[in-house]
Formats: sequence, structure tokens, C-alpha cells
Amino acid sequence: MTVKQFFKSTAFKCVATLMGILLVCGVFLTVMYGFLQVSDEERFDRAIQKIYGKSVETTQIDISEKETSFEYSDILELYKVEDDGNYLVLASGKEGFGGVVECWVVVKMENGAVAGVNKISVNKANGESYISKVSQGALDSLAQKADPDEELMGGYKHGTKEPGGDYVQTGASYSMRAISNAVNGAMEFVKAYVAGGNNQ
Amino acid sequence: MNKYKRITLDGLIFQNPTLMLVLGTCPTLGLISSATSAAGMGLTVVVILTLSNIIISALKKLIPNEVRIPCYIVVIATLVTFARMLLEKFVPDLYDSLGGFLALIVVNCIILGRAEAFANKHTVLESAVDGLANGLGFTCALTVMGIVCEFLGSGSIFGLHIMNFTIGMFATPAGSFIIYGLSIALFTYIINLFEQRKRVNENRLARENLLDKEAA
Repeated sequence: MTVKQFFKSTAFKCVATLMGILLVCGVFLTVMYGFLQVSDEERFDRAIQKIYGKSVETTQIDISEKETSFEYSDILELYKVEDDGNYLVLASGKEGFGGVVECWVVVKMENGAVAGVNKISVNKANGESYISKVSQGALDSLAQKADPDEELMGGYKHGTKEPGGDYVQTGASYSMRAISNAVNGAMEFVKAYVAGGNNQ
Repeated sequence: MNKYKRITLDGLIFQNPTLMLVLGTCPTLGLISSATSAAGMGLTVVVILTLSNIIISALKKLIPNEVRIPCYIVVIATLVTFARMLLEKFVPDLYDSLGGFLALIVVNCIILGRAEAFANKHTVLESAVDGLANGLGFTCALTVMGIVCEFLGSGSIFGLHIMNFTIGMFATPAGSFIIYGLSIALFTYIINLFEQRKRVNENRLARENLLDKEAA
């Protein structure tokens, strides 16, 4: 086959067309990403708005020197909420449905000790198809069950399995397990490193 | 019948992608437990389907037959990624509620099916009408089933609480499956009834014409 024949061949046309379309689409998406990307700051503001319904003053705490990795969760960011004295933790829970679930957890503080969880909000959940089935009601219910002395077990308070709970009906049991692990990790982290383990 | 009217009626009713062709089953079963999610998914598909039909129809002479499917997939994936960016930026609540199903639009059989069966054989305008009609047919079917599932499963419609009595199963994919099956049965029954009556009317008219001719 000569060079001229190659450039006239169907194979070349196919490759050229496919590459052309890929190039145009790639350039288009790159340009659009520049305009439409959601920055981390914007994500944080949205999370605050979702949790508190208003803007609140927060201070980020450096946790780079701390132990942030637990068996079933990792701690990604920590903020002190100046308005109410609670801690806002971005934690990721393992053992989801093939993915990792990132959650914002508001750890409630009373007299300098961890007293429970005020609010949970899902931040990211790549690979968790059913995460959208976990309603805010189910998350609020989980927050109420959170106890600093007992770990949550897959969405249930330890040793008190309650059939017919909110999330059971949604079919998102694995995602709920990952969220529970994130909540456990957040409470554990705040207890051990910020509140100095004083939990009485 | 005007061809655009025919294309529109086929997409909306007689070849409704969800209820007659049973396409796009994955998002249907995954999302109809909430009317808002179902309508959101439907409207996203309308936009992507219409745009993909237009682009594929416009490029049909440029794309060699041997690589048409990969080219269609690239175009559809680009549109879906663009739609995801738009939703994440401007409608984050809807983006969250659609979850992983939004990315799965890339492999939605309705979009690839219409590209392969219609857009690469028809003009840009016809393809646009087909995309719009099929997308709206999908949206209407999903929204109606979403309303039924949400009403029975959560006692609400579009998030508006209506009653306290609920049947939990209808908030799960199992309940969605039952509602989907019943909707297909009901829709097929109505279409069959309509076509049967149409045939009876046509036969009656033909018989009357024949009698008129014999009398003359």
C-alpha cells in the first residue's frame, strides 16, 4: 500500500473522523469546565447553607499533623463553628456500595466534651448509585442516634437494631453503612484530638 | 398525516420509549420513587436526546459507517458531561438527587437507539422533532409513574406531604418495578383499544363506501 492509498483508505478516514470528533469534544469540555467548575470554596458554602440555612463563621483547623486515618473512615477537614462552638468535620466513610461517601458532620459540643451529632450532610458519593435514596430525614434520624460512647453500626445505634428504619426502605443499606462509619470517625477524631478525649 | 405530526405522536404515544419499547429501564426503575427526580431525569434526557439527534443528523455524511457507534457515544458522552456540569453548577439539589443515574445517561438505550434508528437516516429538523418527542414521551411516563410511586411510597407528591398512610415497598426499586409493569400493561391496553376502534371505524367506512358504490 502506498502512502497515497493509505490516506485514501477507509481505515484512515475512520481514525481521522473519530480523532477529529474526540478533539472537538475534548476542547469543548475543557473550555466549559473552565466556566462551570464548582470550586472547593463554593462547595463549602453550599454545605454550610444546607446545614445551617445561613452563613456562619468558621475557622479551619490544621489537621495535617494529626492521625486522620481510621479503620473505616478518614478525616479530611476540620472547622470550628464560631457561632455555636461545635465542630464541623468532613469525613469519608468506607464500606459503601463500591465507593467512598464523604459527609459533613456537625459534632455537638457541651462543656468542652463531645455530646453527639447535630447534623449530617452528604458531600460527595462517587460510585454510590443509591445515595440519592438516603433522605435528609434518614440522616437527621441517624444524627439523633449518634452517641459519643457507642459506635453506630450500619445506620443503627449499637445493639439496637430497629427494623423498618428510614433508610431500610430505600435500599441504600451499604451507603448508609459508609455514612455511619464517617460519623463514627468524625466523633472519634473530635474526641481524641480536639476535645482531648474528655467525654464525661 | 403530516410527517412531523406522525413523528411526534410516535415518540409521545405509539412508540413511547418507556412504555411501548421498554427502553431506558435502568433510570426508570432507579428514579421513579420520587416524582421530582423522575421529572428532572426526564427533562435532562429531553435536552441531551434532542441535541444528540441534531448533531448526529448533521454529521451523518461525515461519519464513516464503520465507526458510527463510537462517534455517537463520544457525542452523547460529551453532552452528558456538559449537562452534569450545568446541573452541578446551577441546580445542585437536582444533581444530588439524580446521583449516579445522571452519568448513566451515556449508555441510555433511548439516546443511542434514536441516533442509530432515526437521526442517521433523517434530516436535522426531523431528528430534532424526534428527539423532542421521544424525550417528552420518556419524561411524561417517568413523571406519571414517579407521582404514583411517591404518593404510595412516601405519601407525598413532588415533596408536598399529602397523607400519612404509606406503603413502604413503593419507595423501593421493587415497588417501582411493580408500578412500571402495571403502567406498561395499562398503556398497552389503552393503545390496543384505540387501534381496535380505529380499525372498526375504517372497516365501517370501507363497507359504507362499498354499499354506496353498489347502490349507485
